[in-house]
Amino acid sequence: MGVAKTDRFEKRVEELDSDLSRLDEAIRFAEHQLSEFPTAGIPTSIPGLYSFPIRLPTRTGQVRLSIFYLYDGKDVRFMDLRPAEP
Amino acid sequence: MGEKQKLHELILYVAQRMEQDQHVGRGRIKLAKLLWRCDFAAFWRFGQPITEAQYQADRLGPAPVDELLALRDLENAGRLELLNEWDQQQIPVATGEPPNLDVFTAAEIALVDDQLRRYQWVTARTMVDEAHEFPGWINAWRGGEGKHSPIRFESVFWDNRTELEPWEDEYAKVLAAELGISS
Repeated sequence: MGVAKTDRFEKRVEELDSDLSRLDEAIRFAEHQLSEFPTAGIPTSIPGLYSFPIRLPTRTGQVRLSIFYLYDGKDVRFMDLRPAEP
Repeated sequence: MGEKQKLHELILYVAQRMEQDQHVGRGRIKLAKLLWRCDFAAFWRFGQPITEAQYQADRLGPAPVDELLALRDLENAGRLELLNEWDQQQIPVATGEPPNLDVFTAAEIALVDDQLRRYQWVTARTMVDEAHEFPGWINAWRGGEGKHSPIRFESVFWDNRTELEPWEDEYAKVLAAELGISS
């Protein structure tokens, strides 16, 4: 199964990418996982909308983010990417 | 550098240090868990693992695919013995030519030493329990269906939790409203 990405998601990645050098690797991993196991994320209260939590190393420790994606039983679409709130 | 040389030398170094430092539960299981810890911690920190090993989902957690073969190679070369203890646990003991640390960078050795210190008083059983909480293993193992499935190094990026945080659900509602996703 392929994974589609919305323009909104791609824009978020561009915004964050300069600070997080390994974001692309983590997103490729999420794509790989969800193409095999689309429900591997955590379901939200919105039907079909999931969060796939990731973390990335930084110079001082780590940063946590969530990929929000839709799965309609057939396709996976990455909708948004957001840093975790403290 | 020969194929698997770094895996061989790391096995010898870890076995030697477990014996020198009198690690709790210093058997083959603990060796495999320490190799996993070292390689995946290195991938997290440096962007690449220390050894050339690939890892697979084993009943006891992630394990190097070629671990058994590497142990046999080292035994045949007279550099390692597997001693059988009273509880049938095999204890790897480095013998003969010492590990060649020149194949590692200083940062890699520092990382390995850090893992060795961290787990010196931790039993193999506890390390296995921790390995069973690693999302890369959980997803590859899938209750046993995925036995021997590969575990990707990139699984270190997967945040280890199964429940939403409150902000995520709040944001999901905002996102649904903005994108016209029906709830």
